[in-house]
Amino acid sequence: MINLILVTLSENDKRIIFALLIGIILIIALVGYLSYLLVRLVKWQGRKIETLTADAVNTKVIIDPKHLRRYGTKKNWAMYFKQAIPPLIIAAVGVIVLIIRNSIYNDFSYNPFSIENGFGTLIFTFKFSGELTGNEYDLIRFSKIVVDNYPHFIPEAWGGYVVAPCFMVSGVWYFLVASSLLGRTIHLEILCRNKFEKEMINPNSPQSQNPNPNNQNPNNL
Amino acid sequence: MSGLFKNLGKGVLYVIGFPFVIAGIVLTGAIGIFIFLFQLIKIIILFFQGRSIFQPLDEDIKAQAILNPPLEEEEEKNQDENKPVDDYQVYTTGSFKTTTPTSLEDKYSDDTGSFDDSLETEPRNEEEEND
Repeated sequence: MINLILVTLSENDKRIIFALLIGIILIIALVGYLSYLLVRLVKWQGRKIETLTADAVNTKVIIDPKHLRRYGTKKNWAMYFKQAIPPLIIAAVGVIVLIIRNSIYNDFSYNPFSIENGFGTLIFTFKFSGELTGNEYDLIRFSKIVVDNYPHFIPEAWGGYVVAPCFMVSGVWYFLVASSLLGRTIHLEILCRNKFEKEMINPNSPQSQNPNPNNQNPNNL
Repeated sequence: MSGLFKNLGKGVLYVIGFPFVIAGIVLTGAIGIFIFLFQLIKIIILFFQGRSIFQPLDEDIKAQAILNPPLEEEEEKNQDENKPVDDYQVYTTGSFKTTTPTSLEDKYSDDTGSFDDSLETEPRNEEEEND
């Protein structure tokens, strides 16, 4: 333990620590920003439930939260169904192509994302050949980073070339549809709780027009 | 400085909340599959009943009836406004409509070149002119 505290860092170790720190900060920033965008997206999609239910609420056809929840859920699900049809059709096309491909090659353990005979042949893949040096004063060092695969086309991998993009596109699309469903559901619940609350303050009173008492103008009574 | 710490705190919250947001969306997506299947079965049943889940609900129809009253009601309103009037009103209205010229040609089609009697002015006073 004492040895670990009193460790003397070499110039190379310092560089690695610095690079790792920068990398960690960048990853945290990226994750934070992605999370921020997702939350914004969910909130933005959630407001669409107001468009769906506005007429019925504004015309006083719906006057209680339970009715609004039932009506809003029906509308929400109908909209979700409409939005979910395209990604699920794309995914279904991918599944059908995969089944046909597997039936032709009689290989039902096929991975469409494989580096050997799947979509992975079209992308760069890297191999980190790092290992512990065994010296307790040294940190983990990557001896070298090797390119494991260069993009190349294999005719036998046609199934992967069709199926993998189908799955990726439908996955991302369905993720967005699911996020909008979540957003609308949360926003509907908020509406049901807040929409029918009655205000005790008269909206036409000067107090409600100037709610901040510190800035109240005595002449404006 | 406080704004910086506020933003930093928000960022940390977003980073911590990220897995939960993802988990929530994935869970919703999984539940959504069941909702989709349920809606699909519902659509098939409603299809054979000649209906659809996308058609307006009762609440929508009521709301639309309030926002855009049907034509029959409007016609009734118009009928109330066009109540039968007495003969004098019919005559005056009709005569006004038929005699109102629509263009300059119509206006002067009966013009024979003579002055209209109604437009004759009183004879000018010569004394005033001399002044």
